[in-house]
Amino acid sequence: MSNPSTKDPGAPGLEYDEAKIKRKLGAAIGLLLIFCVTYFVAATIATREFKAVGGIEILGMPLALYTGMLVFVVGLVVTRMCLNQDKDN
Amino acid sequence: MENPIAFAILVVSLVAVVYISWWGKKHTSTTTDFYVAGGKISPRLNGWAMFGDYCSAASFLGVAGAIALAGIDSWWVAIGFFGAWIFVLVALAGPLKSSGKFTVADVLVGRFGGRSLKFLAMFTTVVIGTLYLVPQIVGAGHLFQLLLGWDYMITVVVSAVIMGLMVILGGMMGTTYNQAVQGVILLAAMLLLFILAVLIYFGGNPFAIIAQAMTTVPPTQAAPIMAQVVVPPTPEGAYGPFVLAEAVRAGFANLPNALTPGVATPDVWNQLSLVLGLLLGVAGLPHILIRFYTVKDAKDAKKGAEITIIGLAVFYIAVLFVGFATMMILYPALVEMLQAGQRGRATNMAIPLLGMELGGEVVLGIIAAGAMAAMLSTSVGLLISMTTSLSHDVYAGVLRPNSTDRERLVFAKVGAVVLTVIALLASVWLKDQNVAILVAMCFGIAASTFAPVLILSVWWKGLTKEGVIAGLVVGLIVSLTFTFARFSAVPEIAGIRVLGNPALYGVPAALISIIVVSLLTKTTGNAREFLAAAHRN
Repeated sequence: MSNPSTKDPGAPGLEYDEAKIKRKLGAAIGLLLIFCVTYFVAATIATREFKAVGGIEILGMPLALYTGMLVFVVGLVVTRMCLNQDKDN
Repeated sequence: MENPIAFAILVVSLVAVVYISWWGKKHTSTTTDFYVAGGKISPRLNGWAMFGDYCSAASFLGVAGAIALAGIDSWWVAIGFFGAWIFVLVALAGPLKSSGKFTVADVLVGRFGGRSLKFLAMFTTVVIGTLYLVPQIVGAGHLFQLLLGWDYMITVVVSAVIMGLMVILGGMMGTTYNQAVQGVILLAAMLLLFILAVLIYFGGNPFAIIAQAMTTVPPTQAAPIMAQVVVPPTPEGAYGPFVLAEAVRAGFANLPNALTPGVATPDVWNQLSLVLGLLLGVAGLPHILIRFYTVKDAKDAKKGAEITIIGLAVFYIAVLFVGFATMMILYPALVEMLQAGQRGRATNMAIPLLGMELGGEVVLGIIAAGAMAAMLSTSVGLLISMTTSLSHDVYAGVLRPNSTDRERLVFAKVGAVVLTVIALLASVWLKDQNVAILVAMCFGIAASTFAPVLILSVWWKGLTKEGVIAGLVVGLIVSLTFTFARFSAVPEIAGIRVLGNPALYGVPAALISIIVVSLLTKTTGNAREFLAAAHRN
């Protein structure tokens, strides 16, 4: 076996572009915000203290079930948005 | 021997796993191949491998079993397992791939350099990996116990030996194919259970499971009051699947049902700590992160993650339905096990027992193969990431830079044996814990250590080496302290309440340490070059 070859993270030819990184950071924060709000709200209403909210019945099923499912839906949408952003870039 | 057909199916699947490892070994000629399969894995294959790697015993056995016992609250572990991937995809996958090489330590060393960081990252990798191995061995031990009727001690030793051998046999190429195949088996096994349960017990209508769950008292609520339950006699002289559940409901109309929220979650702080740990955990799990280095570039890393995310969404939604179906179909057995004080066994073995109920030994064998696949693929991934870190970061990087490849591999494999033995001993101590909860604790530790450090490394120019060290040390100490306090039943530390997961303390402690120390120091490393490379795509 040979020694592993490694990429140099600071390879020449790559220029530091602060505006680009800030733009990507803003996009990432935006996507994570959408997901995290859904995620933490759904998690909170499923707790003992907020079970009156989580237990509200809609079409015969508790809100906590819908919000749990919503996390998956929002997650899939955010995933696609993230990959689409990469395409645009 | 008990269940010979199921055992035969399990053995066939294990032989296939060994064959794939042996085949992979033939295609491993360099240490790069051994560590990351030469970076030649396709995104689709990597997506399935990540799915197989990630869906451990916790996902396959623990979550569905916990839902079967306690209802919808236990689903939150699965939702958290899913959510973590969104975080990884958006915040880490691309930059990590573009800036890293083989291990987590490489990312940090790539920016800051230095032996201390390498050693600290290796130590954290080994701590997380070893703790994560425990639930895999616990789950495998219970599974063999069910299949063969062996004593738990013997079964965990056999399970640990198999896991250790798998690593010694093959490198990342074989592991990748194994994990991908096992991922397909896992998803197929869960969907098979779902379809069989719906067809046999719920008239082909999946929503009938939800409707039935709305009237079923979870076994954890029913077990303490069973002495007061009046069960109508049945012609067969035994309880039908729904008879006992209906008798409990008839006698106790005010008890919660399987869809009532807030029954199994202790309180809002415990819940927030759990979901925070789960959300950030994957961003700090070395055996998952190493998979991003097996593909060509950041784009492929993200494509693979998307496949994993879609698979996980389908899998964890199926887990909810299968968990509820298990509760109703195995109600008498689950209540009986809870009354006998066998909560750990009831949780971890509910799914194999459901397989036996739905399709006899053949389905039990398929489910056992799926469960074993989950445990093996995760365990091998963990051991590979730990041995890579031991060999590449510490032995070759710090202790003996002039060592030969053979010496490095021997060091890695001896390390794998030692780590397996430590995990084995911990598995004996924690044998009655739910594997999903054990895994969630590891997520909490990973979320408190690697996750904040890695995310800030690839996004924040002002991060310093001292900040990284402070974050890793503080996060590790805080999360480990609260983890061991939890398992030692210590209610509070210095007046601070011990929660079910350490993340609510560990994550802020690590973040504050990183930010404060970074603002006070100046060693930002080659920040500009590093960030340019990390965000090249």
